[in-house]
Amino acid sequence: MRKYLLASHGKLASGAFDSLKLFLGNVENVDFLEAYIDNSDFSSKIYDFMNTLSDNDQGIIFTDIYGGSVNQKVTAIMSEYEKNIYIIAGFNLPVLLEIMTSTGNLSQEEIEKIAENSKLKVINKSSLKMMENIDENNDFF
Amino acid sequence: MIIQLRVDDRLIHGQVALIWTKELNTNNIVVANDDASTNKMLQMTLQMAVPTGKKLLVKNVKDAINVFNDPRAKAMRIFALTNTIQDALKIVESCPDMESVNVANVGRFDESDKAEKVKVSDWIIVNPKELHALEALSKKTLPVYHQVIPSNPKIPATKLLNDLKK
Repeated sequence: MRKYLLASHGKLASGAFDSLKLFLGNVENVDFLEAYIDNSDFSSKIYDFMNTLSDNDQGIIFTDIYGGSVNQKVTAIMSEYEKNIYIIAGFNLPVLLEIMTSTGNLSQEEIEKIAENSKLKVINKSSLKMMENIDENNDFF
Repeated sequence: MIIQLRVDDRLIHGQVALIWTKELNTNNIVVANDDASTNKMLQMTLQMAVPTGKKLLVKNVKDAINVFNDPRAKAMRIFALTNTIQDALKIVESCPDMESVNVANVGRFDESDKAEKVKVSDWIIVNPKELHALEALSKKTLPVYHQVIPSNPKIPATKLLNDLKK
């Protein structure tokens, strides 16, 4: 089974969890961690997540900033375990949805591909002009 | 063939692009919409919503019907979208090669007279013409149902219409 932890500075993680429900209905096996909303040590939440992972489980931890303090803590704790765990840093809604709607045990290659496909896109008027031309070539798929 | 014809007033959006294309295992999305076929801006925003690796065709309803009935379409798993029930009905009546119709989100944002609108479900709030089309559609032999996201149950259109009479 795949289990997820959404970890962020403040309420981004719980906000993302709320948005996921719009797309997926019931969201299962997802826990979230809101760091620094009070003075409590959030390490225990990460350990709790690690300890829910059995040998057959795959754990995926989404963090908000690559290299940020939440990500640092998660990375350090992950390295203490010999488990099937991936951290995806700088999460957005597309990457959450792509991962959560994929079935089976995901390989590193598959996870990297999903991360690549979910990257940020910049739009301005000139990029729109380019899209206009792409569509012209599409006759019958 | 058309795996699913979805009626959705937003045509392609997040739920459709990311969740439904995967659920239906389709690479080919066809938007059948007269406005979209001539509106470049709308075409571009639809194109943006299409996930990497999936293909989009935007046609007016008449041309879309020709695409669906083209022999090359037989082997494809096509996900078709309209934004009205009336357009969906036209397509159903002209395209025999179709698995199901999903009346998902419709009518809430159109500009018809609010006083005339009928609430069929939280996501289907329609004017009399659309309601009439839904009644006609529900009498067809193929499955016609309401399912916003895949984790929702499929509610048959006939059930929604019967509940309305209660």
